[in-house]
Amino acid sequence: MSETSERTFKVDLLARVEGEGRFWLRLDAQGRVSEACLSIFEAPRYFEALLRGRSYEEVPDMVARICGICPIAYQLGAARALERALGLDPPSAGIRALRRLIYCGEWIESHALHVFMLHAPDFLGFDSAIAMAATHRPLVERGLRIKKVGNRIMEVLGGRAVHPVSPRIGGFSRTPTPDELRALRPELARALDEADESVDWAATLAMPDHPQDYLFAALLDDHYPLEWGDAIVLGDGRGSATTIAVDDWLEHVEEQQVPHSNALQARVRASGQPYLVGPLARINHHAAKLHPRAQRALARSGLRLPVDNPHRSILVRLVEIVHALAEAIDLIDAYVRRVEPAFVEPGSLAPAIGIGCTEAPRGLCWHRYELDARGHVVDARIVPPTSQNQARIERDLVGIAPSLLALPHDEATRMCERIIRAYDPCISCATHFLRLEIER
Amino acid sequence: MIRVIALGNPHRGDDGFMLALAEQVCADDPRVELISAGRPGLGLLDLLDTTQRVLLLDVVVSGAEPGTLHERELAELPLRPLASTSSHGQGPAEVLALGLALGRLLPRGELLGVEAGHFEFGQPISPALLVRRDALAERLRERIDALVHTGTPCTNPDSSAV
Repeated sequence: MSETSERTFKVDLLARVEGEGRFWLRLDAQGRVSEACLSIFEAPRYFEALLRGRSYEEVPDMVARICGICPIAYQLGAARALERALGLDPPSAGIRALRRLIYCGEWIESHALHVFMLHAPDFLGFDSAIAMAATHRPLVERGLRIKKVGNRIMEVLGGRAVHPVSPRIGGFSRTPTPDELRALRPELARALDEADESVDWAATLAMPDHPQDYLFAALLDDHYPLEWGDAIVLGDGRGSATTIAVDDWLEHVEEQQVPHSNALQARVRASGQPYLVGPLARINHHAAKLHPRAQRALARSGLRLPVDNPHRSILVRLVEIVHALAEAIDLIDAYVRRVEPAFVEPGSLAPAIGIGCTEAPRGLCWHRYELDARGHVVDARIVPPTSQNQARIERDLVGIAPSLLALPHDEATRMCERIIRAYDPCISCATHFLRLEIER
Repeated sequence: MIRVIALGNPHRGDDGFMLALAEQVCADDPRVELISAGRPGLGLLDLLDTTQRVLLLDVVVSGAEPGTLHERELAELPLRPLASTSSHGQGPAEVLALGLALGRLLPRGELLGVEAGHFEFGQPISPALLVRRDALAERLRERIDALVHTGTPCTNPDSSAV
């Protein structure tokens, strides 16, 4: 290999991602990667420590504050874990359906925000959504309409879109009337048509070809995974997969603190391999469980399974938006009688541990709580999706390094940033610590 | 009737001040549609999609003394691009810029912004704001009266950047 000079590609403040992070990719004189780092410098927020000593009843409201984009992921993951710790019966089918519906709302608004406001500018050659809006106004307006519909679902079920107030242990403090949900149907139907149009639009986009060798992890459920699952499937999307109980997940993967980031990184214990959670993992493991409308969208999209190019995540998110909208309509059509609000009190309290896992828009969101005899939190462990994807993002940067050598420096740097953005990282969610040592 | 949109986060120190002020002044005023919007991000575009006159209330950071009142016509607000922010950074200036880029019409109205002192999580509102609360409440009432009765533009524009 001919020698070149050492090169460093870096961005000190990533644009169009949720939260604050930087990256650097260093190549030596022979073009080999000497360092690939995604550095999350957003301050840790110590939620797991804040929860200690709190009553189980307070946990859903507190963990909702971890994220304003995906609060439901934290509320429902916590609720599931605490319901198990408290020995409660699983929620009724009606409550599960409402949980699934509010989670559809979150997927719709989160995915729409990323697709249209954060990711689309990369494909159209713009630095910002505002610059893009000047010449692609119908596209941006369509994205805002779709996002708004997702927010509306969360408002009707949750009381408000940001940090919903109604999700509770056992169910909801208030459930909607059938009329309240039916009133959403016309705008959901319009958004579904627009989501389908958006799949067709995204299928025409030129996408860099950066296939990666992924290990995908997604929740396992009878349906396309969302609000429920007792096992996780870990595999390459090509037929080789292992099923792991949610309760055993941290026996198979390990979180590690790294010097360059305030967010932990996760790897498979046995192999040290990073893994990927999120839309690509879900569609590669569970495409057959997509709503029929989403199946047709997938067929039109040009995607071939397994999807192994992170740039194609924009199409996958759009297919998942179609799925969530179509499923939301089905759930609303089936809601003919108001489900009773459920605010369940446990019969007795005892020290216990409970684990719950759901599929946040960005992937697996895993919760573990230990309670004392009064139902107060002794220990909390929350493993967010972006934290789990960090090591995989760095591996992707290593993977694309050879293709960067021939590019002008600025273009190569932008390509690195595009790779990171393709993951839709929620950096603010990812900042949690194992240990904090203070030297005085 | 006019629409008062109050922005802020009650858990972050002074960021909750205008929410509380709006509630104090507007809650029982039948002329006002009060929307305590929190930090709605892009949702602010929908809240501004109205034919009513709008009073937008928020805390601001400009370097002025905490408690300083800034008053601007909505159409005169300095705008910021969405270029480098996540949704966490989508404040009124950024969202208004997006609205204009989309060709949306701004409603007639004003921003009343109070200079914040701190945004510390879980901490109380700064004394510098609390000591001015009554005066700021009176000014808010004056602006509500003006917009309801005449639609008169604010006569005390602050020259500081918001």
